[in-house]
Amino acid sequence: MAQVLRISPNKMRYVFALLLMPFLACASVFKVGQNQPYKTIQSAVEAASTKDTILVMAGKYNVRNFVLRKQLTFIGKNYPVITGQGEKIMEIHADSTSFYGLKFVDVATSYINDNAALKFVRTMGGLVQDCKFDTCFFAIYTANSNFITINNNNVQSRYTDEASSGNAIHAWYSNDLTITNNKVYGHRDGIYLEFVENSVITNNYSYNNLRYGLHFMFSHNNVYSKNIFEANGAGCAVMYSNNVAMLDNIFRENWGAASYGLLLKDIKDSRLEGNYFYHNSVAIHTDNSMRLLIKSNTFELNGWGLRIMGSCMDNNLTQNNFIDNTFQVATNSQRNYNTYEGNYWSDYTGYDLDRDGRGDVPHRPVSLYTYMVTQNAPTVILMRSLIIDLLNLAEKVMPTITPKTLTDDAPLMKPYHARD
Amino acid sequence: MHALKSVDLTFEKGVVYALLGPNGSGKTTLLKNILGLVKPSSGDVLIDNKTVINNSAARNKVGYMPQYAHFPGNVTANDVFKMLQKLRGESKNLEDLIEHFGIQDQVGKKISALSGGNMQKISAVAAFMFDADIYILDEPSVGLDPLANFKLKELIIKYRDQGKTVIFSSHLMGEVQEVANEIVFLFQGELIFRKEPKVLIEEEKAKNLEQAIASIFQRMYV
Amino acid sequence: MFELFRLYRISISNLLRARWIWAYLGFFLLVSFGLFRYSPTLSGAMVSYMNVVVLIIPLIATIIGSMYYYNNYDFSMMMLTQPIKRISVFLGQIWALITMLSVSFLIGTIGGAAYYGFDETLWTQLILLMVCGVFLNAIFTSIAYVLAVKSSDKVRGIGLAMFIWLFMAVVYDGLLLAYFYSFGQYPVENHAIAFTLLNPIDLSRVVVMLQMDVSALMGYTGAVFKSFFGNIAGLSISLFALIFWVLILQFFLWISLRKKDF
Repeated sequence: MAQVLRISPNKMRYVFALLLMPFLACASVFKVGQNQPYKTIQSAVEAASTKDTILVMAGKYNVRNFVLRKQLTFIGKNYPVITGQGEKIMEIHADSTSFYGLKFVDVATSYINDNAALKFVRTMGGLVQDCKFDTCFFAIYTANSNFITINNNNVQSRYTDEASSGNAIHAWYSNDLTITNNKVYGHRDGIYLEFVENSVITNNYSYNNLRYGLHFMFSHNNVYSKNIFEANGAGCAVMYSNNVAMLDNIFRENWGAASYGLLLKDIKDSRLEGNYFYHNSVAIHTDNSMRLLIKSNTFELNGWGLRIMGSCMDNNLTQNNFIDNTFQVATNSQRNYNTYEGNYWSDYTGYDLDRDGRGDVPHRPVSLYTYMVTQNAPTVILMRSLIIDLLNLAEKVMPTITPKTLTDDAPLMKPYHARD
Repeated sequence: MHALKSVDLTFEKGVVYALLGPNGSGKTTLLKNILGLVKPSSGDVLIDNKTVINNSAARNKVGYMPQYAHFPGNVTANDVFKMLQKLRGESKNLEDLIEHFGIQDQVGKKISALSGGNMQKISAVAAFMFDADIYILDEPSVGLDPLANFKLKELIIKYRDQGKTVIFSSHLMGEVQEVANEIVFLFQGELIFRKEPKVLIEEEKAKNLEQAIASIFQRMYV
Repeated sequence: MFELFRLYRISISNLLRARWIWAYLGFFLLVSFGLFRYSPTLSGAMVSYMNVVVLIIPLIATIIGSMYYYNNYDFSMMMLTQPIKRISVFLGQIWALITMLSVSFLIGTIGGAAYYGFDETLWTQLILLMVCGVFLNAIFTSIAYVLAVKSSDKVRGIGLAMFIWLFMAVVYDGLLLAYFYSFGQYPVENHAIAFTLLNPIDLSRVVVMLQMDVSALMGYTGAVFKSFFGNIAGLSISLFALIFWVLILQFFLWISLRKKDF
């Protein structure tokens, strides 16, 4: 399975089609529609046997609190609309069911149950592809289910209140998930993972969610790549996880008093590479993180570039670009247990006499004012005052207050990798 | 600290007063007192029994020609006259005055382009162009050519004959002797005497006023 | 009043002839156009422009205010010998100067930012900034005048005015910083609001900045400030503080003129 997962998401479709071919050959097709043998999805499911296909024609269907216990394939023609009529739609208790081309709407908010359009419960295998979800409390929910693929879906909602909204893609105690090419927005969390391992989250676009674009906890050994997390209420938060790889993602416009591009808490032995942080109020806030490799990321025009708390140790920052962030690097500690080397700093004022591309004078990423603000919060009100520029300059000429060992001894003269 | 000490003076109508005294004796201060530019630390300055202190209307009765002309540099003399008329009303004799000093070709030029003498002439016109009761001239002949000086003296006498009070300070004794009816002599901020020039010359047994004043100066500095 | 208006008009026409007033307009036009045209982000442009406004306007108003007083001394003297109140002579000049500086600033700003087109957030912030700019003009021109009236020595007058600018723009914030560090263990936010209200430069900077997205970086302090300055009541108090500054300075001017010997 792991090898299959490496295949690019677009090709995945064909792989699955191929995998399904032998079953389709011997399985029957049950058509559902106004002028079809079956008028309701429920009756078709009733009539079908394992591995059969339910072909749903365009139209509107009511499916409420339905429990699926057969392995079936659902295929929608021209996006038939399946409405939960203010309840949940379907709970899947069968392995390897598939859903293609359906549109799920109207799943009610509940403060007691996690009402979902599609909820996989204790299943092995499963696929949701090319489906649309509109105004569902939870759209796709996996609980104690493994090897579920969620690909190329469009999940939207228009919630305005965090407490009464659910997550677009929600996974709980599920392993080996593949979440790719989905567009999720307007929910509480775009993608929520708790106790999820060995999974791949790639090429998703999570934006305008009320809370987090991506939220995971206690989820080890996962790969997040090429996703875009944009304008989410609180950005992205990832916590208590080890061996996470976050590669080539874009975190942008997550702006607000309590918003983070990426909030890292208790993340260990992980890699952050090639990510692009643009105009977030805090690009990365990291607390109690250890042995992270933060490499070739670009931090541009964020409020805070990297906010690294004193509890972080043995993290390595290299080849990153810090470009015009209001506060490039902030820390609340005079001590530094992390290494910074060979990064590009837009505020670097040194020179490169030997022309090896690296500045000859060490750079101190934490400016005096950044340090002050972390130490003494009210001083933030002096932001953009002339005195701040003067003090920063003085500290630059004669460093006395900022952490002595927090230096980049070989700062790059030019950005490591120019990104469009 | 005080430029003037207990000076008690009354100026009458139809009289020309010459204010004399060495440099720093308080002549300019006295003139500025009358204009309300400098306020006495005690006492009062009255024109027709009305104080000039914090009373800008009192200056309606005063025409002033300062020692150094104060005009904005980037405008023409005509602009200045217009401006003044806007503030004080139409002048009845502006054209006559300009002609009197022969500066018809100067009034269209920018003030900054004028020579010192011409500027003084403009300044004199500005002082005499409004109908006032008192005309104050601070060293009016400085920088004036003999003809202009003569014209100015004519003007002073004309205004005196109309019953105006003219007060001027000068260091040209010939001129003072010619036009002044009375000499007010100040020294170190104090009024030393006020006398007619004739009387002064006689007292000092001098040939002319210049000699008389010189001998007074000599006495004072001994 | 009528007399004051006449002198105001005279000074306005006098100022319209001055070349530097056009340079001043050009400066703001150039800066605002440059920033709104070439900055990568709108908020970045806005922050930079705010910086220019809260530092440069007081500085220029201070310098020009002093220079104008001394350069117009002849004119003032001429006026003082006329039947005109002293206060009218100088108020006319000050307000003409404030008008011209403000109008140039406003035209420059609007002209430059117009390139960006209409954007509600931008223009809300800009209008606030322009109001602050006009007040800063008024306040610092008046400060310069009061000090100039008090000192017959030109160098002293300009020096004093520059010192006030330096104090308000830099030293004041330094003292505030020292205050924050001395009383860091106490909640100083409310004091900080009071101190901010007292300094027109800080007040302008803070009020404008709180309307911008950088306020999201200000954490708890920003939230406290926003709860004060972010609503109509707070903005009204700020406005009153600025108006108070202007009025008290006119009063000081009146007092100094009453005492002054020319």
